[in-house]
Amino acid sequence: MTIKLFLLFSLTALGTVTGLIFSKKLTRRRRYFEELILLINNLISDFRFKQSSVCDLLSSFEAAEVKPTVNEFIRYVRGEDKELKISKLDLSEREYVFVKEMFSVLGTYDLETQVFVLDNYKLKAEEFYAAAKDKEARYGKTIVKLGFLLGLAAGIVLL
Amino acid sequence: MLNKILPAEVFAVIETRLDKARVYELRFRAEMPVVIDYGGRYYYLGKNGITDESKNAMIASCETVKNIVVKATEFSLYSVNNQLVKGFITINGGIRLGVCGEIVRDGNTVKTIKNFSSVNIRIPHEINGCSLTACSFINDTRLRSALIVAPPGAGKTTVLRDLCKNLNHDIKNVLLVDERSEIAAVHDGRPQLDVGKTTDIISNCTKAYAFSYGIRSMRPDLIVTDELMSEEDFSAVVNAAAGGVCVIASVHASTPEELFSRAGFNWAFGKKVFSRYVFLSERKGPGTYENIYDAEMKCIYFAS
Repeated sequence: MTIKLFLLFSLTALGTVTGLIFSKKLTRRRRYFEELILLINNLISDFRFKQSSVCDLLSSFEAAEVKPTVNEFIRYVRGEDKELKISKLDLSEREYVFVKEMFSVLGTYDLETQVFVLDNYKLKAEEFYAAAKDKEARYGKTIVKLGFLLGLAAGIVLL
Repeated sequence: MLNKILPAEVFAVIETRLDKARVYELRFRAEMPVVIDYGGRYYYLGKNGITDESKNAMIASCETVKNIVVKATEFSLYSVNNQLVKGFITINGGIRLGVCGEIVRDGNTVKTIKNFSSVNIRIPHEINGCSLTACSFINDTRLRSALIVAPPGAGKTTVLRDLCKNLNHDIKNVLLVDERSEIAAVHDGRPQLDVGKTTDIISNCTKAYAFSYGIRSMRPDLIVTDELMSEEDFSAVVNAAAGGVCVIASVHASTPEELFSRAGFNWAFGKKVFSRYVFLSERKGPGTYENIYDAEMKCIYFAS
């Protein structure tokens, strides 16, 4: 009986944790694009007024989710990586292509064109952010509840 | 720095098959063979080193040319537009890239250059002591204004740089007007090449502005500047000399006759601004001293 209760509890917990993992993925995606938009705004502002090097600007940018992407770009710029390699993280295929394209054109234009290009990328990033935010709002809590229920159901079935 | 901007295969050839101290220039033209100035002579650059045969040379693509320029700016092309519109970019180590491409204009103003078609990477080499002969005539009984006269590639800039350093010992304040950032190669506010400990540097601006602003603010004992190309440049020098400041500059010419044909020089000569004319050539390699003349164009040193 004790073992069965323990199994029930474990499966419920497993289900809940699995639900939480998927929910966190949605949250990370939303935060990724939130930080990306902030990054683009900072870059546009810095390009216009300070015109510092892109490495300096990116190194001083504080972020959690988009930081790995930023660091990968900095490694490429510094010559530590021969090719620009951006990790996919929690991005969908379309989102990944968008992010890779954006970083591949960073710093390759004159000021006016660079700002114009970044403005366009910002619009697209805002679309992705809105979609990610909507998905998080709709499914974030539901997935956790679903995980809990599935775990509980599995435990009961095994009982 | 070269390893960061050059294609890997080009850098590998230079690193393994050539003497880096003899590499002066690398020229990349879109869809054309890569050319190298090695030891003062141009060759094609192949996978096995220098060659006279273009068919054995590595070919630079359009993408290669663009990548070199972008990497040279550390992926910050937007930050070097002021230099780019003048046709060059100075990077770490004093390396200077001359850039060709499509000019983008807004009326009469050049806004930027796009679609780069060729890039000329000039690698500076500091040669300590190469100005000692010139120094002995320019700073004999007193410091004199002087003109370093030579054709392109004969070592004017290298000698000017060394003069700056050597004249630092006796001179309190040297103002270096480095219009094209060739002499000191200032990058991020730091001179990449040694121009002496008491040298103030103004770069990337016209001589007329730099002379007037520099004299007012830095009170130099000596102004060193690069090529005098126009009447305005000579006029700036004459005005500085009239204010009691010695000026050492350079000009493109091979002979005194050619020198006199330069716009603005006749007038400056009449004003007796320069007490020494130091002629250089590539006869025995860059920096070969030819004749040195006094203010009256009388020869006081004969080439050997």
